[in-house]
Amino acid sequence: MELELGLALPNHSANNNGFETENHKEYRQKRVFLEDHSATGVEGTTLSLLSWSGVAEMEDGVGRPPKYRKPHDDGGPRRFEGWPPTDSSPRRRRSHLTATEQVVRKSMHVKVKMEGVAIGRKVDLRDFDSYHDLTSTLMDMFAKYSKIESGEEYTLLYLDKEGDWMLVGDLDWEEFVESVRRVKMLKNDNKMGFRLLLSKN
Amino acid sequence: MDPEPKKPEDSPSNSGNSHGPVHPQSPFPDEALEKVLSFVDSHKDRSSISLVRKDWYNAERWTRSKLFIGNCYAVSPEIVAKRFRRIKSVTLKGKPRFSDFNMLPLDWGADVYPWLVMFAKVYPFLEELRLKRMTITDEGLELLAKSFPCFKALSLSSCDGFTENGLKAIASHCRNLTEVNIQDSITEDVGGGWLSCFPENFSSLEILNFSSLNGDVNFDDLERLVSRCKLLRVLKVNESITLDELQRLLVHAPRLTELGTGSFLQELTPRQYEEIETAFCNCRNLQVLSGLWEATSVYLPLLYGACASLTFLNLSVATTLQSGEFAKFLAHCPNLRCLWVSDTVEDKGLEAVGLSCPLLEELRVYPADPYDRDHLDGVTELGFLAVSRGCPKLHYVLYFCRRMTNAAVVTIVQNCPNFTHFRLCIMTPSQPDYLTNEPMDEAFGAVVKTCPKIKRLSVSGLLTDRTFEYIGKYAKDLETLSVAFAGSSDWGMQCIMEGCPKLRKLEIRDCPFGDAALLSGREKYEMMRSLWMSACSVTMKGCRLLARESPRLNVEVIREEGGNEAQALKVYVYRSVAGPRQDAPPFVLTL
Repeated sequence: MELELGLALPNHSANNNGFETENHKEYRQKRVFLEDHSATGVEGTTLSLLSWSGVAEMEDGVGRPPKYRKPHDDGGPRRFEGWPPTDSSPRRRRSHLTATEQVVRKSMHVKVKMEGVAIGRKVDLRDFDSYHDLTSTLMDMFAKYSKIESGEEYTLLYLDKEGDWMLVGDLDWEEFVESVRRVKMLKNDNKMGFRLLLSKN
Repeated sequence: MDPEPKKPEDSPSNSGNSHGPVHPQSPFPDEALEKVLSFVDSHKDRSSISLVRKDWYNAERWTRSKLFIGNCYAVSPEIVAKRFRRIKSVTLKGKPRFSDFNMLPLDWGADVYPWLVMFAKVYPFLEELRLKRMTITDEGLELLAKSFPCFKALSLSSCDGFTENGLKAIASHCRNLTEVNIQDSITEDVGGGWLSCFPENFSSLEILNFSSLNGDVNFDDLERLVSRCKLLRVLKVNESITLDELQRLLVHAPRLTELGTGSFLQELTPRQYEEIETAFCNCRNLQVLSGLWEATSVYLPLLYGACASLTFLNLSVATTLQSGEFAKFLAHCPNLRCLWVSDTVEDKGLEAVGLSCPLLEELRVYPADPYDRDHLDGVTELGFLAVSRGCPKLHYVLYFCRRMTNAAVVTIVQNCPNFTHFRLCIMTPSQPDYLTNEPMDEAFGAVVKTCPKIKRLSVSGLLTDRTFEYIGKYAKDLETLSVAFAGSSDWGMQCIMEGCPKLRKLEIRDCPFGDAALLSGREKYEMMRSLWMSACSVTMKGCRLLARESPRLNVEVIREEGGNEAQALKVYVYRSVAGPRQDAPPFVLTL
């Protein structure tokens, strides 16, 4: 494998050696090199020196304005870029969900578990437009797996974005959809109050 | 640290069989010198050694096996390849630190590919590559995977440019891999499929950290990998791994010394709870714990059994943690030396730190919600004070808060005079002492006067030139200084450039420092690694003047869209023996 010692960037096709990747990042396609940069070898350092004399180059159309990463947090006005100087990596931003941030959720799938049924289901909340719609669909789904005696009632709980289990029904449908992460169905019976308490753990 | 003194048997007058050439004035033969130097590890010491005399320079370059390059543009691959011939480990750092906060455009540079091409040619026995703030593409990872048969350790810190395809190449081809360590990855959406590419007979992994990558991994493949890598001591998974999955991993690796959990939010049956608790209890060697996304009070007790030997606890992403449960948790961690936490624990939580962690040396408090300016929660000067009272060994602090007073800082440094790293970030720019409404000058004055060993300082709040007078005058060991929204005039920066003899890195943003300030440092920049100045009053003219006067400096200006042509809004100055960058994108002008 003949490796050419160049300080050029990867779109020097000579060096690809079949390492084709789908990683067609914007910068590699659009970059324009004014001269061939290949060095002659380890000893010889006849690298062509480019001198950018500044503004003129930009006006030639070679220059293009710099682009920045999209910020990960979606909430709150920011007066100064990069301030406060806290690392805005996806790792940090992802898990912090508060009422003040507007989180863009890619999917509305939530897990649904029914008490007494080992296997849960997943539903896409975008398919529903009201609580009634959701609950009747859920009853239909679970009727297949467990014998739901007629007249039996269930209490619906949901896990909100702050990690708390809550009773379904207090919020508007839209607010509920924003907040819900998981759903649980508990059988209504005499010990309902006690069981609601236990279910929080 | 001096190199080992020569042993008497090696001196020419005693030995009858010196093999190598002996220089007329050299007290001992090259071979002996090389042998001695092979014990010297620190690159700073080696740098000093190489300056003693020519034969020491040569002996040093033949025996160096670890390369540390703090600024990838300070030198070129060619120059490095000519000087050093037997390199096994490379550490390369690229972008200036402010790139972490998105202040550098995409494709600014610091692509490692040209380096890899050179290494493939000259250092075929390369074993380790450690990159910080560099771009490494899939092609780079593929080249790495295929060019170095002895390759063992890959560490990427705050790097970008790659996808899972590059990691797949590493997993598939590197037979002797002991370390895959990806921290604070800036690259989004790296899928998890690469983890399944380790061959079935591959078992040498000791360090595996993919906590900052988003993609879901195949748990079964991960479990198999962990179970066959008997030497695994560091395992940091990502959020896609659940608690009960973590339990299964721990069963295979009870000897872990560092663990990063996955998501800590899961509904557990009593049986699962017990199993997980047992698994943690069996981790008797745990020193470092991190992860704990979405950890709530319910499941923290699961960890108690693993905390007895914990020295470093990283709860910075556990942003749902509150003070009460945090305090209870701390009671189980008596040996903590280093704690990173989110400001949701509030001052009360920090009081608990002061009470429970007498051995604490390092504290970092990160803001859970940095952009909400109306948010009044978080920590204040009271929390910091409480920690300083209870933790006399404290020497490293990073503290994000919304209010502070001069008096508090004065007391804090009196309690803890050994500060080496004092990074205080009052989140509202130019905010004064909230009780007296005065500038925060006296606070930082107290820091530099009371703490003689201060090496790194980040200042914030309302600051006049007085702060910089103090720093220039007292901070004799200061190496890194970060300044934002501070100062009154050029004089402030001049105090720094004329004082602070050991200054290496200076980063400044949004300060009223202009060309005179910039030029006041012309003698100093060659002794520093770099200077960053953004949104100050520096002009293109001033930058050109500096560039003209200092041929060994690269003076780079990043041109933004639609900016005033005469202003230099983002300036990056660094010493270099490689001349101007060859790979500068169009918006980076080297003057």
